[in-house]
Amino acid sequence: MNEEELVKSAQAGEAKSFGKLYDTYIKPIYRFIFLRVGRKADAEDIAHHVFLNAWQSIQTYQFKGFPFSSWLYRIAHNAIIDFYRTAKPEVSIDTVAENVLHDTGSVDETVDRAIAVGEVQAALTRLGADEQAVITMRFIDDISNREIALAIQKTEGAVRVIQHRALKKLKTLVHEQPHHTIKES
Amino acid sequence: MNNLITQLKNLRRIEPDALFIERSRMLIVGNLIEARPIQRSSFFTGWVPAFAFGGVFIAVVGGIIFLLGEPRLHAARGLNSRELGTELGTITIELEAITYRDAVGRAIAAALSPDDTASFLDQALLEKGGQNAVNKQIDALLKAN
Repeated sequence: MNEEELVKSAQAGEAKSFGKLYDTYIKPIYRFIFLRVGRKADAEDIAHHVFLNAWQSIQTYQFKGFPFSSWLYRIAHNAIIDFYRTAKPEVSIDTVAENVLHDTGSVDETVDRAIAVGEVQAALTRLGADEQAVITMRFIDDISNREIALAIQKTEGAVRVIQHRALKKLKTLVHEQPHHTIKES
Repeated sequence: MNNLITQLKNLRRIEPDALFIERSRMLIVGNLIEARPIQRSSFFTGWVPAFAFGGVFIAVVGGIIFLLGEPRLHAARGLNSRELGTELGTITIELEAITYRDAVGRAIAAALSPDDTASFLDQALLEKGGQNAVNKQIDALLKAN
């Protein structure tokens, strides 16, 4: 069963089909949220509500040739904006390190990577909401500009502009950090 | 810039806990019917389907009782003493009729028989006939001639 059929089946009330969509997209959606809110507990809470809302309003979804994830990203993007309105996000480098310490390698390498990743994540949270969304979707999850445009409800041209501006800003922010480890290439 | 993008790619390793996925999935998928405004069919709700299902249920149960109970009703009827007496009376009458027809049949057969064997069958008649066999007046006339 392809994605379109899964969505139609879920719209007809088939729980298993929505379960498959959940299994497919929970990881990227959680990551998208986590990188923007910085706390595991907040990310889990928002991710859960994103899928719950998606299920509750799946009847309104119309398949237009884009992956179902575009719709989920849009719900997540709006949920994060709501989160920022009501809560002050904090970034925990420890939490980032927990997630990237699975790889083998020397302790020094692992710590360097964790710090570097932590720096990037910390810098990410200082970008604007749309900039964060574009950087996360484009460079972490390899989503096309067209889908990003659909998710954040901007034009493709606007997405390219945001992307260019956000990358420059991110680079500056990383270098502004006191012990930055990311070297220029 | 490339190094920055490489570090961004490293963030792809971030994943939710398996326990969270399991719990969240169960909460959403497990409570789908309550959580979601599904366009449910109204066929299973309301009075008309309730009566329809009730009627079907009664018909099915009644049919089963009728089919399974019928032989037992016949057996019970067979044990009724009044009916047994009536049936026994009918059998007796039929036996008497058979006996009567048999006797009549034998009597007719004897009467139609060419040899007069039938007269010998009645002892009383033979005795009477024996007594009448010698008529004194006839004897006297015969003697006079």
